[in-house]
Amino acid sequence: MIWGRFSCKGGVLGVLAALLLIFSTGQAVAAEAATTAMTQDAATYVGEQTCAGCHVTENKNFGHTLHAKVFRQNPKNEAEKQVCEACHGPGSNHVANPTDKSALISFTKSWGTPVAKMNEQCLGCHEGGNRTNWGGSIHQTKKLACSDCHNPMAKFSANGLLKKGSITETCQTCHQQQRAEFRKKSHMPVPEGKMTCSDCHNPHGTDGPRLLKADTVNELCYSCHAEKRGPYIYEHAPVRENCLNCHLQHGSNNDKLLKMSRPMLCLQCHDKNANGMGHQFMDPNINPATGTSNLPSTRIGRACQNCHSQIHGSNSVSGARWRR
Amino acid sequence: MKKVNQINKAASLMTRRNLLSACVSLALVQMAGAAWADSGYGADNLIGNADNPGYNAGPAQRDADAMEAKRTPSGQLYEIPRVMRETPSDGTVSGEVELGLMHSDDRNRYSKRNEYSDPQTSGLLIDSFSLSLENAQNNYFLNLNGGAPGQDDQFYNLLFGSYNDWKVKAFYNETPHVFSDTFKQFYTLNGNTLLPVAAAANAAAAVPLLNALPDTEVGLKRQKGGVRADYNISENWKVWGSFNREERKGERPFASVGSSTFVEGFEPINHTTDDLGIGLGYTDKLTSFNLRATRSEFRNGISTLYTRTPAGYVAGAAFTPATVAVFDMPPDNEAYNIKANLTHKMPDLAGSVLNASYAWGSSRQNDPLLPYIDPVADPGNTQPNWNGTLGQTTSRATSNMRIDTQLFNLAWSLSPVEDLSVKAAARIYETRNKSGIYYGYNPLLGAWSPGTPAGLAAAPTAGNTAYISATGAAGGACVVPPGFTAPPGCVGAATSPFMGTDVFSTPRDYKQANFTLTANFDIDETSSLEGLIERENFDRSYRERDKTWEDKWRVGYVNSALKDATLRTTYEQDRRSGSFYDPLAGVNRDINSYFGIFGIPYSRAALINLITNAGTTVGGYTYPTLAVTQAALVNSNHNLGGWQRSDIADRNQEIFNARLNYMATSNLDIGGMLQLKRASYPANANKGTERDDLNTYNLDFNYQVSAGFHINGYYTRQEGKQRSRENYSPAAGGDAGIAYAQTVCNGGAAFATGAALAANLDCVLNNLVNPANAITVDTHSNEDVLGIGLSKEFGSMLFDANYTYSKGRTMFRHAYIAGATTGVTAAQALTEFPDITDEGNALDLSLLIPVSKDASARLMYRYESFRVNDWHYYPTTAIGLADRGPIGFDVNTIGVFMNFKM
Repeated sequence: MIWGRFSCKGGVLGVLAALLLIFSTGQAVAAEAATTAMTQDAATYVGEQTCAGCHVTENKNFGHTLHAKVFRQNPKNEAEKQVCEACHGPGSNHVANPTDKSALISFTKSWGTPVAKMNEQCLGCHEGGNRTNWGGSIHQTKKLACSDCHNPMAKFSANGLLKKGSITETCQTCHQQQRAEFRKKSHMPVPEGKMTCSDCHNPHGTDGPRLLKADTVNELCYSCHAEKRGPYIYEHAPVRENCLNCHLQHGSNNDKLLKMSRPMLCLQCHDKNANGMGHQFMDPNINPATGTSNLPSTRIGRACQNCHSQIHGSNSVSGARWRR
Repeated sequence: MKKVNQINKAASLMTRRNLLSACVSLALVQMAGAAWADSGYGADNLIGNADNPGYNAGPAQRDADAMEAKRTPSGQLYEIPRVMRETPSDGTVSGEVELGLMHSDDRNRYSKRNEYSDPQTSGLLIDSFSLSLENAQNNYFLNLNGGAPGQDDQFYNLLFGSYNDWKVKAFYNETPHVFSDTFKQFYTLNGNTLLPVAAAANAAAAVPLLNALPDTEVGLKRQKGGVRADYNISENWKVWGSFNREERKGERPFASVGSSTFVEGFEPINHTTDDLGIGLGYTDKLTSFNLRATRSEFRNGISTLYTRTPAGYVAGAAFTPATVAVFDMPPDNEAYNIKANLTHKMPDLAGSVLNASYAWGSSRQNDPLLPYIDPVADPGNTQPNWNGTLGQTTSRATSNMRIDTQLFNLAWSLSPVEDLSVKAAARIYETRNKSGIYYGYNPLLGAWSPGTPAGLAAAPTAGNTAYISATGAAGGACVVPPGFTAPPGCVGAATSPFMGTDVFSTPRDYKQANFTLTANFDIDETSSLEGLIERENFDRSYRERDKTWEDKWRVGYVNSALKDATLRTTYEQDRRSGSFYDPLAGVNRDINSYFGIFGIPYSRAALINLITNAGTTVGGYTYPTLAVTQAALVNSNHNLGGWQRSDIADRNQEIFNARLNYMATSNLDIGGMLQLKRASYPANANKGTERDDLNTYNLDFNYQVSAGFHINGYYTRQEGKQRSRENYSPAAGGDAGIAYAQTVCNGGAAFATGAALAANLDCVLNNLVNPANAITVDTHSNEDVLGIGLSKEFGSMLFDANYTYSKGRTMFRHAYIAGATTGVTAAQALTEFPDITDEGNALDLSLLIPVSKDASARLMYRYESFRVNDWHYYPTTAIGLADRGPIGFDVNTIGVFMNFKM
């Protein structure tokens, strides 16, 4: 089995470390490459003051951002020292002909700099870390630019130099479906300001599906719901495999973010047995006029979970049916 | 011009608490630095609350000089920056606080208003505060901010460090979670025991007692604090470490207990989770490497919950096993994870990029197991929790559960020709369950559970075979699980024709392997085509299917240079199939319950042996009769009769996505979004889950009329449709018992022998239910959301208005088959479950008035309403329902705030 070759955890980690040593050039981050490229285009750096001479408003707003503080107070390399031109490239050609859109790198739609070029510029400093899996990620293949989500020219958000006031707002400029799902009766506490999209997703790319920050859905859910982690002696198979077999991830019209109302959810996999157990799943027996019913315990309240309360798993010797 | 603090919010993208949060978020203006966690690891990226959801604060007015409408590369309008308060860069100290008075006309708490927030309803509120220290000369900074001190959703952030060198972040955040505000407390908590407030013989007797109790709030609060330090060792190397602790305390509605009494109780919660993480990162021009190690520890302060049943309850009376329900609550556990990933670029090799990841994880719990006869429930029992002589039936003293995981991911992308990039990836994730099988078996006595606590009339001693027999009768075959030896006096062979018993664990494992090939072709600089094919193999143990596999293909198109528009669209198809679906995998344990026989086989071969020998005596063991065997197959609890369980069933799925951003004018955006998802389950045609569809439609607009005048809005509709068949197994008529299976599998004739039944076992198990007798259930779940926002400057004043409307409806429609079903009368067949509905409105109005250079006043008005109708909470006498469900509300709130800056 393929795993046999990699069963030694340390061995695999060692392999990766060895590759790191082999591949590592010890060079500074590719900002220097960008610097070289610009020079090769025959443009030269003109300095921040030259930029600010024309771009007064931009400079005024930029001055409040993290980039400005970093570049001006503690630059670590030649590129960062250029401040404006660290991102926009050497500006001499732009000064000579401000209308020439090929003379400078810009990050807005109207200027026309290709998205790949924009992103290359940002990644020149921000390569690695949480952007390690950016290449080939869903956002990258959809031709999203860094500046589709970020706006480092002014301070809009508390952190992250986002184009909107918060992570949630930024994501919802495109992900309107999730915005609506968070408005459902049962939802993750995103509108209440206690969670945000990047608590579960890494928009810069991951090595798994759906930009999830953990290796599996369950591992992600356990980061806040550790009491569900178990492992339990008596496990409920679909629970161990994927929380989303029963729950929705953003919001639901049903309690507990369930995909379907109970007991219909349970009946997707378990039947009602009229002979042995007497579970009368059907037969609503509701009087709509009065709103009263004599629904049995298998439908009212938490339905099946009125008895099968430990549905995520049980450690009780009497827990084979998840009732204890 | 006076500079005032103000936040402008796009209503289309903000909660109904936008205004309050907008204004108070001014306090966050000086907050700098990265998130508490980051986009790659951990939660807590947002430390705020409903009134301060992470917004940046700034002066009220937009910078008119920056009005030139600029757009993102995808064509969406950027927000217009605000005029920022200028501060000296050297030795700066700044801060602000907003406080004021609020008053609501309804100060009650409602589960759907207080679910995750704690809005002030009356009195003084310190809504937010901040403090910022900057020393540009020495490159030091410190930011402190927080909000709602004393409220259940208070929060505090601290960030300090040296730009581009190091930083330390600390936070404290409280998140309330209200489950119910209409909970009837029928029990009181005494230590870890729930005691009824009164005796009640049954549910019908308990309901009036419940109705007389007042409504109370049941919920919990998460209190979480943490610290993280990041240090740039060099330009290439970075290291970080973090520690978080979260405590969750409170209660939540829990099981109904009390045998026939069925009165809902609550679960007391006292949970603590500690998370420790460390990481190392390296980045250079061609290579990046990340290494991360984490440990999570969960502790439950109440691991065992005893609930005294209401039937016959007498306060102070001694417990007996029959009058106490014993719950084993979530056990303490630990989880470890180490992950490394490496990315290396090889630009000379067709622009190749190699990406490799490896992760190892382990989840463990080793809680002491409760004895079957618990000392609390049976005060005379002083036995150890296993291997005793009073019926303890555990094969080990502690649970000793452990699941290890491994992830291996390898991806290679390259550009073999210009404008074409190709990526191949393989991802394998595997679990290794190292727990071993747990048996409900007492090694000392050879007794199996479920035993009969009430059947302890004859105190078992070593050699007493009363609990050993596979048939339940003394002197029968002795069933010993693997790894154990027969105790003294155990009659019969140490091995058994059977492999296991009813009560044992199933140490499940799975392995998921994904192989993906993706290609992207750049038509030009602004448009591209994408193609993807993927195969997912899923291997499972102890499930009805050993293997499933899913093939996916997807095409996508992006064009950001359409006439004034950007379009992104994808279409994909998924086909899931799998190996033989073995209903026995879910049946074995169920059959045992009805046989009432211990030692029923766990393996298919052993079960077939059982059926084949029905009614015969082999080796001194008398097998159940054919009639009993057939009845057990039919009555096996919750057997689907061959319907494939939806999570592993064959499935065909199509998903279409489209998003259009249209630049209607230079300052007006219009957007449209569409997702259509179709899933069908062909193997479950006319039975089981058949279809699961979800469609989402959205329209939105963003209009920047001027620097100081913005309008935006959106409407989203989501429609979910699911169809499934729910099984009625008629007790009478032509399809009673095994009759339908005989019709399908044996030409209508009865199976003459066990061998004949065994030979047709799979056919029988897949046809226990005539689909024509199944009931169709259609569930339609719809949601409509509308949002409108407006922000307008009037001189130096700012007016904000935001409105959000949401409406949800879930409909259930059944198709009964009169006469073919049991237990449903004609009249009842005409009765449907009522729709579950909810409707909410939220209106926020705010007027910001600058008073001086450093102060501004804000007047606010908020209206919130909510309506809900859910039959789950309808009055009933069939069960003592304590949670009466969410209720609606109408709340008007007014507030006056002052914001002071320094």
